[in-house]
Amino acid sequence: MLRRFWPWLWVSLGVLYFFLPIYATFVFSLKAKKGIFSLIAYDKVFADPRFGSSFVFSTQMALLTIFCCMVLLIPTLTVLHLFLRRLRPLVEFVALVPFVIPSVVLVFGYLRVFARPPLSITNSTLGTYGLLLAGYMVLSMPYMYRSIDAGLRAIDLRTLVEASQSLGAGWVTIFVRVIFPNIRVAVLNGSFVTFAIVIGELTLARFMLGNAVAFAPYLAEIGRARAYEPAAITVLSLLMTWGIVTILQLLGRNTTATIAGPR
Amino acid sequence: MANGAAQTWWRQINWRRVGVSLTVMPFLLFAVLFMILPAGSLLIESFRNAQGQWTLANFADMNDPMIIEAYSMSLRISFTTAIIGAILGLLVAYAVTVGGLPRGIRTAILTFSGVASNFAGVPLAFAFVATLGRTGIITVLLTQLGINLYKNGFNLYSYIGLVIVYVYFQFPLMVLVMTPALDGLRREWREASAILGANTAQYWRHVALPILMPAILAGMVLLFGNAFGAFATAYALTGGTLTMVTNVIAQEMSGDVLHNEALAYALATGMIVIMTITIGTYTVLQRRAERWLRA
Amino acid sequence: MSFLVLQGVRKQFGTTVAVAQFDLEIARGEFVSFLGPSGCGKTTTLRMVAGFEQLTAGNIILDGVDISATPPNKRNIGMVFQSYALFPNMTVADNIGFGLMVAGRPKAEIHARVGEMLDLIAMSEYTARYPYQLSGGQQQRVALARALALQPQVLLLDEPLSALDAQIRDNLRQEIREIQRRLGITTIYVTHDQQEAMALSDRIVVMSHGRVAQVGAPHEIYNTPRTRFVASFVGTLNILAATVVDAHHVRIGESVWQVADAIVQPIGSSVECAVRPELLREATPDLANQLTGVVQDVIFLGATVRVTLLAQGQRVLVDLFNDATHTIPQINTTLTVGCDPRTVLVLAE
Ligand SMILES: Nc1ncnc2c1ncn2[C@@H]1O[C@H](COP(=O)(O)OP(=O)(O)O)[C@@H](O)[C@H]1O
Ligand SMILES: [Mg+2]
Repeated sequence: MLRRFWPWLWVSLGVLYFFLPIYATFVFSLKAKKGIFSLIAYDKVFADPRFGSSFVFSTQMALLTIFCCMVLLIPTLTVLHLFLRRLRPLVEFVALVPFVIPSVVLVFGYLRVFARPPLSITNSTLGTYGLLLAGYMVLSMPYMYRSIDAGLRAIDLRTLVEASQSLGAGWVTIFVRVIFPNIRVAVLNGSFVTFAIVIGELTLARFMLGNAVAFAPYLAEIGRARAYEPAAITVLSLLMTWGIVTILQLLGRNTTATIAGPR
Repeated sequence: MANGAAQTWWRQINWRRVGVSLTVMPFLLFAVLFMILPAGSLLIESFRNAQGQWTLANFADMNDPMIIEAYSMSLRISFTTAIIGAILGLLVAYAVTVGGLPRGIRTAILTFSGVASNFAGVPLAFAFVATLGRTGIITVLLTQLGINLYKNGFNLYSYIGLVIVYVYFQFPLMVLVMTPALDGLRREWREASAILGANTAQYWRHVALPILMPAILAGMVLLFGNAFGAFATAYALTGGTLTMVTNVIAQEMSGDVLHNEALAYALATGMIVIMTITIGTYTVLQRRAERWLRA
Repeated sequence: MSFLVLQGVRKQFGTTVAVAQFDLEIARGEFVSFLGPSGCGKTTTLRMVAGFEQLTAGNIILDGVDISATPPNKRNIGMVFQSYALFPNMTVADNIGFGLMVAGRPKAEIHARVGEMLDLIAMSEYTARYPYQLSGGQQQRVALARALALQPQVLLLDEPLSALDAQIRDNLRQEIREIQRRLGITTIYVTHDQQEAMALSDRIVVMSHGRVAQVGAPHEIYNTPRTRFVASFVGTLNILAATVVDAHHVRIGESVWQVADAIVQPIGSSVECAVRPELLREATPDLANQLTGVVQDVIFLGATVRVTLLAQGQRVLVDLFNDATHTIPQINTTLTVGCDPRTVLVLAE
């Protein structure tokens, strides 16, 4: 046992770093009333309609982002794997570009190009949301790209496609009924990261929509005015994250190595 | 003859290939429209003044104590948290791979790391406020034990505080990067070095660490970039009062007090350049690490 | 006086018994192979000699000293791994000089010794290459040089050739044997390839299920296998069901065969007789043991022709020399083959 002293020490240190703030946040969220533990902070959180509405908004955006990323990336990557192997390095490089553009830079780039004449996309709510969606897609691109790529690598794509074609399936059927089910778990991993990114994303939402509409900006604003509610919301959002991780684990695999999320 | 060739040149084109290539167009179009174009427009604008004339003045304007302080602060924070995060992450990754801890511990740590490296931004800032803020749980606890952090120069809303918060998402990222690299250390290398007379320290000094070095450096570079581009955590924690590049860009772009878009573009260009160098270095180091481990 | 002695060596992993009972004495300068199917405990035994595994029971004695508890880095043993295990961050020269370097020898001495070793494996021009720039065969030669650079008392090789192509395998096999002879180093060679073991060894240890099945020189193992397992693992063997007639005769179907060695099994009991395909030939009247059957299949192998015969309801393989003056048997024709009584083995169990 003594031989394992150092490994255990490092792991304990890591676990402590990880759990202490979470534990503290939980305790803190219960101390809204002096001297006793209570759920008052949680009551207040749920009483504010903006909590629900901003959370629903961000969830919808997250799901939409995941969907659009899949529609954009799965066919592209399938074609790359099947027919255009030589183009793969280029596309791989492009999928890495989001790492190079910090979100602050990205959002002002968007505002500069799309918010002014002649395009003025942001004049309509729909246009703004569309632009936000595009931004979210860019932020989650590296993760979605990687997980779909890994998924396609892991299956014998060519044989699957040829077998389906020989059975008379068209491309839509092949994508929906053959390829997607086979890479589902891998795509799920990327989707989880994307979900986390969009829910926690502050920068794009803050500068495109202002303070109240999306979840993270709302949270930031609450944090400036209140003490205990932010802790309660943090606990709630952590619970949700763990819920999603648990679901993923139940679906049979660890989350892949994820490089980054909302900063 | 020449006429015949001219008539049939279009037959030479493989229309099927062209059709297949076209399916990549939506992706490339998306990339150009929403990645290249916005970043490119900022790059170009950084070389123009408010009247639309070409100039280098925006970069000259960066020679300002506040801007220099912002870059220095951003670089310092990124560098410090990359080093601390890398060391802590390396130790934890070592413990769960080569350290010989039970399999379950490894799975648990990797799952934590997956979550923690994504647990950043606003909620993370709040978690630390609840922990080490003026009325945070640990602060209060330590005060009761007779240690008053805030009277001893500690402040969560300062450089040191931000370092502690950043390390929270930095070190798990290092764990995720280093775990495969440490798994790549083959048992035979250790055994070969032992049978050749090397002790454990000599094995680490001459074999394991040199083999891991490209991966360690790559991890550090990644952590550096990870911190350098961060905005939300610092914004939520300090409300943008800390002079960092991302904060200054946001203020120059949208602020009421400061407002100099051209300068913001120049700052953004500086960031993109630094990030490009960072990711480029990362890619090169990563390749190198893989080349050795492939053999 | 034996140089390396393994006494009652046993290794258990939890409840799995990897090596049940292993006794062996190896003379100085001897080349011994451990031969056996995968999972029979060869590697585990070798790793115990190297010091990578603790013994569950028994002792290992090297040159009169019990080294059972000595850590690997104090044993002065060299080892070559199946996967080469070269250090990827070091050049060929640094790999070979590693042992001397950690031993703190002077630079000049290391340099000279590395040069010698490079000459030995004929790779002097590769000094500055990295392992990933070498072919598998070259990497394994460097690994051999690295293991020999410290002039170890014993050299251990764990299936060193099994990751290589056939051609390179044969060349390197030869090279290993030559180097071993020249240096006179005591060597244990683990393999599952019987040809390799035959070609290289002074003695072969055939292993089965964590035990020694038979120890002997290659020709002993091949010609007089003691058990059915050894017989069938080494070379190809016909196993024929027979009944004991008396101490020197068995009945195979309608034929009665003579056996040179006295049969220990009781008269009337069922036994198995073994005879190698290449020791059967077309019958001539002077052959005591004969067997007639119908040719089922003929495979041309070059120097020999392998004929499958169905005789007395049993399948019998016969290797005939491909002699231009003889006609090759035709399928569905009758063929009588025979053998010398000294080539027939009655298997124990
Ligand atoms: N570290 C270990 N833990 C548990 N079982 C092992 C271990 N190493 C080997 N074994 C088992 O011991 C037996 C012998 O293995 P090994 O010596 O590697 O065989 P060989 O080299 O002859 O193929 C096998 O059944 C193997 O599964
Ligand atoms: Mg083995």
